[in-house]
Amino acid sequence: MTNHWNDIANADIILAIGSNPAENHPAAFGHITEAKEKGAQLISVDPRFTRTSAKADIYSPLRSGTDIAFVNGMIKWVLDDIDRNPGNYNMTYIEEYTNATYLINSDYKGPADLDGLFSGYFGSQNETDGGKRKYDTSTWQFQRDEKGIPKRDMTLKDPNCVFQIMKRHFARYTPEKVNEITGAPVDTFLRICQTYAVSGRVGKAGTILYAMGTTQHTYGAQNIRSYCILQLLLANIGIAGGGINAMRGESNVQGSTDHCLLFHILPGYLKVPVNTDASLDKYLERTTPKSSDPMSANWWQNTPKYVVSLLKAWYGDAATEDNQFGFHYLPKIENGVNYSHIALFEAMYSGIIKGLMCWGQNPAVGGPNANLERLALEKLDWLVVTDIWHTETANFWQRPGANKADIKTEVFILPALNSFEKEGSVTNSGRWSQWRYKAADGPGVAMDDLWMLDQIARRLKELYAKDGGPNAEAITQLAWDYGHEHPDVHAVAKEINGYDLTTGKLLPSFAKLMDDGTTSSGNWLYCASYTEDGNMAARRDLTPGPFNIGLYPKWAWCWPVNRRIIYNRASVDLNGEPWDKDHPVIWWQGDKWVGDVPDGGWPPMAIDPANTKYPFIMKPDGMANAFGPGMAEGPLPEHYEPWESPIQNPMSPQQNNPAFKIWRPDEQGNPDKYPIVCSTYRVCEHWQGGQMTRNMPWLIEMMPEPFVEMSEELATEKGIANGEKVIVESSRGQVYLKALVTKRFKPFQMNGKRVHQVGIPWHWGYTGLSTGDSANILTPHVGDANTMIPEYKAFLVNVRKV
Amino acid sequence: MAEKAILYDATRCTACRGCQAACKQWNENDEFIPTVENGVPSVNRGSYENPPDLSPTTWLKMEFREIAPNGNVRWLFNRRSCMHCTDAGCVKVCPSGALYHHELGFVAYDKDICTGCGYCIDACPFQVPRSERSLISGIAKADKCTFCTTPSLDRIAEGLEPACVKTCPRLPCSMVTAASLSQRGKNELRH
Repeated sequence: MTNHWNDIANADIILAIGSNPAENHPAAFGHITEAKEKGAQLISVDPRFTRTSAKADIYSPLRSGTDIAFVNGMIKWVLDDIDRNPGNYNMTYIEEYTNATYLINSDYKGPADLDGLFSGYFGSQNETDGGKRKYDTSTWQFQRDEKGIPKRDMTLKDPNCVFQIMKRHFARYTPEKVNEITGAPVDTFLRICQTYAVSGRVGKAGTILYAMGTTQHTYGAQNIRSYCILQLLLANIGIAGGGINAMRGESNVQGSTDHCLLFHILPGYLKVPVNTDASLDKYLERTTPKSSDPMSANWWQNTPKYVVSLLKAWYGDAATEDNQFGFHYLPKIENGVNYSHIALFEAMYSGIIKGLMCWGQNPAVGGPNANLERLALEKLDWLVVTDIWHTETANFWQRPGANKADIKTEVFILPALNSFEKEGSVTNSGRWSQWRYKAADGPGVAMDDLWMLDQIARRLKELYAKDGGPNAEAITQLAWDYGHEHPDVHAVAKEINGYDLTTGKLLPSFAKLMDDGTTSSGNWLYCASYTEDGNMAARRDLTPGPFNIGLYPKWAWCWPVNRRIIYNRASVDLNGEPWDKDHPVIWWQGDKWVGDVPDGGWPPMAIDPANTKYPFIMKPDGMANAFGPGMAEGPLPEHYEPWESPIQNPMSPQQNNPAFKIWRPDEQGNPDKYPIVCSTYRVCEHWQGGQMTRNMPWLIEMMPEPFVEMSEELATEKGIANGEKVIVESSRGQVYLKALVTKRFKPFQMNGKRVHQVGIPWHWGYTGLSTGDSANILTPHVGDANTMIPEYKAFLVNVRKV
Repeated sequence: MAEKAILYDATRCTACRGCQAACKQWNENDEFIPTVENGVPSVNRGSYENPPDLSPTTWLKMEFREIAPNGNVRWLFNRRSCMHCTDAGCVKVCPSGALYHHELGFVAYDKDICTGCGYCIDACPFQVPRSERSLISGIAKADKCTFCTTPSLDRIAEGLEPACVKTCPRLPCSMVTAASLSQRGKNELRH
């Protein structure tokens, strides 16, 4: 989240799209209710009428996978309205804080010119050769002057400026086209445009709440880009009650992301070294962005300080200037190769990966194409499952239909403690790191993850010291001392914060980090979380804080440097006066900033032009990117159909996202055989892969069995009665489910064509007190072109009576 | 002492059913819920709503109702439990005094002295009390929400809120004084 949970109460308009907070974030929905009590409007956009929709002021359906068309249509409405009523929008914000004024390479061409493609594509329309499904992005880049500073047109009139390019790009998304693609009724769509665009007025705030309905698509990152562009045109980033807010699906998934338990980043979102990084210097040169604009803070220019401090935290005295601070101890991935979930399971399936440690994760239920992933587990030599229950993953070898005698995988189960049986921190969606304490002893021999990791690391160190091995020093040289008996979780938290290695004192903030080996920090973003003043995450002071907008600055701690709303220097005008004086985030008073921790302490742009900086300090040029040249499939979001779609793309002849990897072309379902759109989701009563909740009798009673929700119209067509058992099948497999026939799903009318959609919660499996088929038996092994997050939300099925 | 009541605001409720689970958990009403051990099957009956009705072990449940006036679908949530009437039919007809008004105003229940006559079941206009004949004693004692005052599980005596109120995410449900409840109702009507 750019903002945080409590801040939602400051919003005037709340757009929940690709999310269902009443179902999946029931406690946090209280903040939405609080905003509504103060007069805020709640808009719910979802393929089906959800518990969130039940509380919304406006609800619109949209066919799964068509967010870009819907939001691009909203952007077109706003751009047209800016022409009609410029006084209703914050033009200073658009001109001064976003790259709307930037000039783009004059050879740039967009989908309007190239039948759905952008300039620079290696392949041709609907390319199937994986090697050509990518772009040369040189024509998407900014024009720069002789100093390397982007050229701008402050009048927004130049045909090559981003604002004009956007007008041409989005003009194609008329309300009628939006209806044709999404199925959203034109009048409802227009009502949403008018309602949400009010947040573009100075002093009004609109927030977008999104979740997995947005991200889990072959163009999930572009879905979010469309939300960002809308929010920038409405001046909603950086202000109280605004922002672009990802509601995380687990209590600490934000923490796990910040510490980068992912293949492509190191703690604090530092880039992972690749095989072509011959030295630390070469790596830093590749990964440190440069700017010659004195007005740009270009915060990532500090990358070398963060990398060297991370290496000092990990390798201690063994990290010296002579050995490039242990840079070569770090594993390096092959340049351009993806190692995320789908790729890992494909590698297991092909026998490349022989062992798997599954830590609090249940891919046999939660992974896409679950039958395939269960088969991949059969090909492993060994599997370690760390969990609080036996999971489907641990029990994959005794699943229904498995031939136990042929499965050679050796399975180890490490019984774990749950979150209430151990001490540590959790970081919530709003970036708040909150310390929590052990409340109860765990059962039997269950141990906490930290103890298990400590034991494994210590024994690996011994083994590598004795027997050696490839890059053995990566393990043997690890600075690993968290206590002799049980590892001390505070020692870990302090290491994450980091030390001044000269004095041995905890560092007060990442501003003190150095690239000469005199400081350490296990995660620069968390530097300031555990200082000489104590454990900041353990603070429990309920003072609302400056300007009474609910920042709660002394409750727990928030990255970066306890800044509760990031990009908050966009919440003020060029003189440092808040756009919204009723809800100021920061305010330049006298000669200093008052309020939240400002995004850099430089004076306002009009007060001291010589010493100021642009507000979007994490972007190399200091401007928010309405135009994003770093994306795989284009600098502006363009509608493509999901990999499996019931219709031809109404927007262009380019049917699918031209840049995502197609793993298994043979498994693409044909709409003649599988004509119904299907989406998967969660219910309030169950949790993720179900290992925690499907062993809880009270929860099972409320949500006893997996089901498929369908419209009354589809049920009538198929002769299906409510509560009856039905078969849902895709080209990957079939599942048996209870039919839940409801008014809350309606067939979509698109350009005269009727398209049905159904939905299935995915929590179930074959282990536990409540068992049933997982919806992921149906989902495909394809993912987003940028992130490779799997497509769980839009694919094709058929439904029939048993 | 000021009389206490539970304020349930359906306009704010999202039917997360934390209250329904907390009621069962606190009051140990889990003998008939589906587990492998007791052999009760788990059944989805084509609705989010489950179990289908109040019972001797279900004192509180959320109702989900779908309507579509003029084609505009609405999903209505309602809390179904004892209303703790001031003029309570069940208290009036109870011959043993097992059902009685607690000093804080709500309708409490002492199961030990219930004779299983079943009058309360007929007298309640909301069909709240439920009974099931014990196979051992042959007596069909009633059960219903006790406002969390069941002996040994009495939250109110400890100065706590009922379990359903405690678990509610902030705004939809709260324990308030009966006087403020009627005042608030009058205010809402004025809006």
